[in-house]
Amino acid sequence: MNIIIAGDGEVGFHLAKSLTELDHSITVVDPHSELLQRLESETDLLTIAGDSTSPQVLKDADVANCDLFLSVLHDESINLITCILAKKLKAKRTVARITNAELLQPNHRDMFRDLGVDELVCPERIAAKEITNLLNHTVATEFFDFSGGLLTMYLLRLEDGSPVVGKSVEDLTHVYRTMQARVVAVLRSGETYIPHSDFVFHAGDLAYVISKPNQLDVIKEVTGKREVAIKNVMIAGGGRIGRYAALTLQKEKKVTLVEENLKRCEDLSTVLSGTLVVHGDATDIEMLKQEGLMNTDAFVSVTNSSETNVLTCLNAKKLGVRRTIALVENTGFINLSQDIGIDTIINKKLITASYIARFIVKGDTVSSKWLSGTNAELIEFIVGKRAPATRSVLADINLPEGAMVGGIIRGRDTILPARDTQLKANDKVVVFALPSVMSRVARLFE
Amino acid sequence: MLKVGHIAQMAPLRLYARILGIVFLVLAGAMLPPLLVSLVSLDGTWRAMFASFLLFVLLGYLLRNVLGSQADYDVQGRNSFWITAMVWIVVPLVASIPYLLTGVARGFTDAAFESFSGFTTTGSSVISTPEQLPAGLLLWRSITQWIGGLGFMLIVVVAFRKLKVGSRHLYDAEFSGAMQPKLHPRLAESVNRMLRVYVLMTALMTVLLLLSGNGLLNSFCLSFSTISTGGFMTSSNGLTSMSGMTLFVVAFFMLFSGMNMALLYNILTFRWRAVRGDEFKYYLLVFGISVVVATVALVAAGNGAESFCYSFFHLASTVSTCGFFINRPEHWSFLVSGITFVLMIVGACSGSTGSGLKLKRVMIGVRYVRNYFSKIMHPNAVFSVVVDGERIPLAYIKKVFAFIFLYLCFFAGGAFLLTLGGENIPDAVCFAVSNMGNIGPSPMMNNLGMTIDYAMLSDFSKWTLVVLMLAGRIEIFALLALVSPSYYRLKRELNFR
Repeated sequence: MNIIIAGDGEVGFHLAKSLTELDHSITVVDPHSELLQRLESETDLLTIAGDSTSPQVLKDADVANCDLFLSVLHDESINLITCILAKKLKAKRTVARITNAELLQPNHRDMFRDLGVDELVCPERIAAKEITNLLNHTVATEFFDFSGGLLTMYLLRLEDGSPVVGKSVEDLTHVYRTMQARVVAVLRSGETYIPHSDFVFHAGDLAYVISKPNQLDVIKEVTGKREVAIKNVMIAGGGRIGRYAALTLQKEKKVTLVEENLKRCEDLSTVLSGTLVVHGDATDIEMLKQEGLMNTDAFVSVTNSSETNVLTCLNAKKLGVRRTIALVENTGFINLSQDIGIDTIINKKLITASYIARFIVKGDTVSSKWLSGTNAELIEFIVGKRAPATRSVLADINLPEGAMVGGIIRGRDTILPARDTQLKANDKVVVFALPSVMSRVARLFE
Repeated sequence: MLKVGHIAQMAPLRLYARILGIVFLVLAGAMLPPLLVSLVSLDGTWRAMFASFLLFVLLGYLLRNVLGSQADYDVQGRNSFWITAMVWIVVPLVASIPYLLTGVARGFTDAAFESFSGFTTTGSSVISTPEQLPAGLLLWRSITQWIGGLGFMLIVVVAFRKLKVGSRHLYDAEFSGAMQPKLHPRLAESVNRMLRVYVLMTALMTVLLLLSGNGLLNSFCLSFSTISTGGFMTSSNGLTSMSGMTLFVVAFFMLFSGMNMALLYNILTFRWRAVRGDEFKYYLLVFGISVVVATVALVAAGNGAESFCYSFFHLASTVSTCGFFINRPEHWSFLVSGITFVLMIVGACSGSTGSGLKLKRVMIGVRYVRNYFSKIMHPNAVFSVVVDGERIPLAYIKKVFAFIFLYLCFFAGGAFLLTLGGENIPDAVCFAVSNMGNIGPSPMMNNLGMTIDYAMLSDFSKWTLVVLMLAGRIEIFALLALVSPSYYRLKRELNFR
């Protein structure tokens, strides 16, 4: 698949790297030539330095033969113009990153489609949605639905004293009979493990679990996790993520939002009728205490500074806040932050990449989820008619080391894979795969 | 030394003259139907009416075409209050002449009171038996309310396309508190649309009243009184003797008249999506709750099913600041008096023909005070006063509080002066509130339990009430500008440098 990415920094680069690993031909258009040189030396792709709103630059990138055009600059108006131009220059499908969620309204979407912008992605909005989801279901650190909820991925942190700690996968086989869920990967101190039968769970492990619907109660019992009812939420940072999150959360919970900029506070207090908007510095702990930090159930830090977010979350954790979510923009920090105890890390780049991956439909992938803390990915494939994987039972299809089938969806049914499961054409499979084996896995199911 | 030229410069007298002239010519036009009626009905007043007509034409011509012939159309913000106040004082004074010439009023004070009460859409009357009024004068009385409901500045804006920027100032001076949603980018066109709403509502109501079996003259008088939220009635016992259908029509149109004109425009042009807003919502909510409570109170006091009909009519008459009354039920509840009193102060929606504090100001005030208390609990928190999803700027909130304070001052001062004029305290308080809110007769009837004849008041009280009516109608600021020394000082400084 020929993909052109117009970007101006990290989001575009991250996307480019991830997509190259999936065997796509990527061309990156970016105004910063030095950054591009570095990118090109690290990855196998073509880069063009230039302004994406220039038709000549787009022609140089061979836009006429591109299957997917992604414009992910920070400025949404540039993205929209770039996509409109790309579509006029015969790009097959265009996706623009936007910052204003207002454009996502259904009646507006049709208008943009007429203009030539096929899809709109608002990372801030998706991040906010993720925050609200996480605060409504507190057992999992992260979760993601495949095929409209027929399969769900949970990320669970195994605490000290959890019944599964110290047991191997083999010890748990009796549990697997009743629990309609499978552990597909475990993240331990930045390393990703595929849990085979002799794998032993440790405290502090982050386990990726693929589950059938309505299994949360069983999972809770097995892992010894308890749902924490979140009634009071404090959000630090009144940017778009904070604003969108508060907008949804204020309907059911008591929300306090702390923002540094007075002018922005005034705007926020106009829009957020059910939220207490506080003017102050998120690092001012005394002030946070005064506004009830000790009594909040969840602390969400989404300011522009990743460092502030991590530190304020740690502080909140220390003061007994049960749930902390931090926005961390530097992907290198994600592991570290999770190790030191922050419950969930939100990263706009990963979110954008996960979301955009759903547009890369080569007939086989439907949706995918880039996992934070690891560069691995959960991908949903549609099994091809003559795919190698259909020739024998699951145990014998030579699935490479570093990959694991998490679940199978056949029609409206969900099957959790066993050694003797036989795949059929048009099944959907959710596969966990490390980047190194991604292309081999893809070939198996095509 | 002040020279004539300086005076002309200080106040653009030619422009004042021209504006006054236009208004008088409009009055002359408005005099024609009453004149016709008095000719047809042979009530013997046609000479007086014709003389008034001639006077208006003459004054209008003189002011517009002679004195105001070379007017400078540059109205500055600081002149606009002055012009507004001047027109609102001079015109009703001159327009009291028909009452004098026909001999209906017992003196100049009575005539002026009736005239001011009409133009300010108050509806308080010194004529105890309106059914004995000559037909022509009855119509004239109603027409003054209808013109007053529109507002003189609205007429000026329509008549003076040349004013351009100045008309905006004049318009704002008259509707100082309203923060009007503009119906059209051009002010003249917005005003035109409001005018059309006003005429259409009046026509609609007149037709419905005719269909309900009322006479032609009565229908016109009643709809002029209702749509302008005036309140002059054609009978000494209010609307009690009217048919049920008539009362039904009047009640609903009263309720409509208390709404914002822009909203009514959207209703009449079927733009249902635009028919919303906090003020509209609260208007209906306040009205609905009041009706329910009043009904329950009246039923509890021992009345039957008529409790609901009475509550609906009476409270619609109060919230719209119209002021019609019907005979109250046999057993009275003072809870209803209390509700009436509060609603009289609150008044109608901003941008309507009604008066009072205006619901929007009350909303802003309440929300600001609520935020003020929350601020004590959360000193670092930022609160905004939000109406219709928009943040109200602090400058505007200050203006609202200044207005509320002034309203209180005028109310207290007015009540004090009325006691000096010989009224007892409950009467004085009631008179002050109802005339400042441009409501007129109804509250007297309901709160004090009797129809009070304004004719029995002393002259001093009558003039006090005139000032209160005027303050209520042109929203105080314009009136204060007229008497404020600092205002003159400012003008002098700006012009004699």
